[in-house]
Amino acid sequence: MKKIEAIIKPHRLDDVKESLSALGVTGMTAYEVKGFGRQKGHTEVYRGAEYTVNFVPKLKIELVVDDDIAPKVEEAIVEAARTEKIGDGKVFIYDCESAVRIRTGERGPDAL
Amino acid sequence: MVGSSVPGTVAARELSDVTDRAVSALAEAAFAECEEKWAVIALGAYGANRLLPYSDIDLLVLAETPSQKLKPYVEGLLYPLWDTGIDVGHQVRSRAEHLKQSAADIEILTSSLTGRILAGDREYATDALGEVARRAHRRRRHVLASLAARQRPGSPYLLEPDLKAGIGGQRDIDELVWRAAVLGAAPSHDCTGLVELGVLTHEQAALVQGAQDHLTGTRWRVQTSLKRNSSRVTLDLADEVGLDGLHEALADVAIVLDGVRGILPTVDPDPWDGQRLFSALAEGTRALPTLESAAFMGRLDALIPGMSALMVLRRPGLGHRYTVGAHMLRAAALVAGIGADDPIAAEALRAPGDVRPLLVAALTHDAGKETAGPGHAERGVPAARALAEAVGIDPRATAMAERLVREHLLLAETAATSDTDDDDVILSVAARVGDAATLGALYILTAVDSLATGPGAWTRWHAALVRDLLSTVDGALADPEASKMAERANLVRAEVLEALPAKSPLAPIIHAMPSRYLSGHTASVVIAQAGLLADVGAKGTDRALAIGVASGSVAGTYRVTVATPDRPGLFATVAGCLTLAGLDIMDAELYTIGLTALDRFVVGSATDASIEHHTWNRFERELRAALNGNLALETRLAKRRLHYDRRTCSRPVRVESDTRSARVTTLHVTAPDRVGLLYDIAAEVSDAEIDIVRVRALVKDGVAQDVFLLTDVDGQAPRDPGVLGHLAMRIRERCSKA
Repeated sequence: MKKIEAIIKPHRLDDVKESLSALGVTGMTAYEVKGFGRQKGHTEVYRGAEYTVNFVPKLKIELVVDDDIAPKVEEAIVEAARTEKIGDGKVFIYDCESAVRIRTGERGPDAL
Repeated sequence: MVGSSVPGTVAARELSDVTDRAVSALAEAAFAECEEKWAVIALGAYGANRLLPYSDIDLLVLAETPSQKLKPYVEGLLYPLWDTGIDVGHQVRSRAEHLKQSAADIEILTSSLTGRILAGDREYATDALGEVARRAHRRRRHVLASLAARQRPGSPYLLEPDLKAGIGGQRDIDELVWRAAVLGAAPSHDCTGLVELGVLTHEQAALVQGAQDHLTGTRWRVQTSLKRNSSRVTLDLADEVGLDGLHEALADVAIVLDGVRGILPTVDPDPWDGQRLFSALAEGTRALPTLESAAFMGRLDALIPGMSALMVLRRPGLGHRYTVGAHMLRAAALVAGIGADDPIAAEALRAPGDVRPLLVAALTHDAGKETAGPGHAERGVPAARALAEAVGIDPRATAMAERLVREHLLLAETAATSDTDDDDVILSVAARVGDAATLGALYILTAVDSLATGPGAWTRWHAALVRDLLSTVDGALADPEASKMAERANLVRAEVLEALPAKSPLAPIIHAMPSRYLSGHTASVVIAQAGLLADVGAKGTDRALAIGVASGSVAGTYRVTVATPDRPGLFATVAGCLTLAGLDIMDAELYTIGLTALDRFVVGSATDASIEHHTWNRFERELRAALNGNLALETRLAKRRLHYDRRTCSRPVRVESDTRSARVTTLHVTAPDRVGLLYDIAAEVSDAEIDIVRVRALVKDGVAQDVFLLTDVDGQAPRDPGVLGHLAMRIRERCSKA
């Protein structure tokens, strides 16, 4: 199993969710996060006054999938989240050792 | 019995009676051997005959026997109760100890004021309970002040009210009962004594009694459902326990107690006018209890039709914590203080103008929720109009209030669901907002609406998203045409699509064209240029360049359109080739549609020579070569310069950047005109990795006055003073060379 974490622009969430649903992914967790990468925040101007935004609002999604489907999930997230502008985000993939569905006690891929 | 009873005060009394029989029987048995005076007394809610399923019972064992000797008797009473699973709170005191502790601790005092004798020496117990009340009466100023100091969290209009500790809940009714006991100098189980004392009217006492029945019934259903002691009605329980009339009951109690405490005038029958309403709102959230009570009692109905009904209307969802009316009042009351915590709101409020349209909008923005279902923003507009007219604001301000209500979800929804880097999104928002003043007011309405919704609706995360959008739209609205662009673009797009044959290959290109482009061109021009774009092939192929030429609006000028795969420095290259062809650039607009650049130039002859067919052929040939890297453009331009006068003007080169707009940075360059000047400036801008969005070129008396609108590679306005300063220096150096 692989754990996939992605930092995406907030407005891409629905597209990412739809892409993952089309692949048969049935669940994920989304968090509201703030951070910066190469974008290093930015400055906003309102009526001549400047406001520095050091941490940019993003969404972080997390999901665990079977090894077989992980490359397709990665590709789907990248395609759905891409706007071709700076700040599109990142995808991180880790090995996941175990998973348990608490209600039934199922383990491994069956628990996903 | 619990399952078969009709929840309410009658059922609570019956459960109390059943419990009484068990406790008194146990007590009589346990204390049978006790030789001293003793009594078992029910305290608190149980004492007042209001026992609910799964609630605890509080007992006081009053006895003159030393505690060590008393212990087996007390255990004989409590152990069987504990064994049944009843949660029993108990106190064991002598009469003297009880009197002393009742004087020292307000909670012991209040539990005793509703005390009821269950077993033992009735005369002894009656005297003790009576003496507690009499002593409290003697100290009534202090005791009543202590009762009034009790914190009352929440609101009668919370969607998940606390029926015990919250405002209007059981503790508020209890306080009225305690006041009756203190003022009447005798234990009491209801507040009717306050009627005899002239503190309450019969009608108020009846309202409290009705509320007591309602609250007891609801709490009975909650605790029966949860199978535990709980006073909070969560949203998931609401349907199961039924909440009809609950907010009315809580509000009735709150208003009666507020009147008794002197917080609110008990009788205030006059409808409010606009001046009174705005004065109250100017006090901010401090005025909320007064506003809520006035609204609940119908005092605002003449201003906001149906407001009293909205005060008890539940529309849970999207994190809302209050009833519709209470939410709107909260939003309006938050306007007064929003500037203290939000510098952007403070900036918007600093702008000259009338704050009343914003307050009108805040007070009515969810009035459309009177009818369930989507579209409440539009449905709320008539309420905004009615309030605006009732308070007498002028038609322009009324129109602004209507627009604010109609669009009150626009910023929050767009920020969360749309790409705010997309110019079309920004222009669309600008079109719906209309002007900067309305945008500022809409931002404040968004903030107070979210803050009034609940703590999760306006986090720094949400605020940052909305502020980013606000800043960009505000920048766009600096262009007076911006608010009309989206509408104009939609009209042009529709006209073009109608003119095209069905399934035309140009349709996808038309859909991809930005509003800023479409709004500035006629349908026929758009179709022609879409044709050019359709002809453009991949970079490096013969079809990588398409050029269109048409006569300009001024005699001797031409409109040149260049479509080619986008690349850095493209504008400089095209400008250089136009110069080589003997053409002067007067205006340029640069667009990117998909991955293709569509650059439009207005040109005229740079010399006295007329522009002929071969001029365009040369331009195309040289541009194609330059794009393929087969033309030494810089060298060719330098050679060409040799054919012209070295200097026609001795004015110094001036370069100034203007970073006031959030969208683009404007670069003003004033320099003596010469061949290839525009190319030189554009090449320096390109070297600084800055994109040119638009160019306006003007030559007057031999001086070029060029204006460049710039963005960085991220599509944002370059603002770094170091980068802009370095660019200005490079341009000055280059343009100063002959």
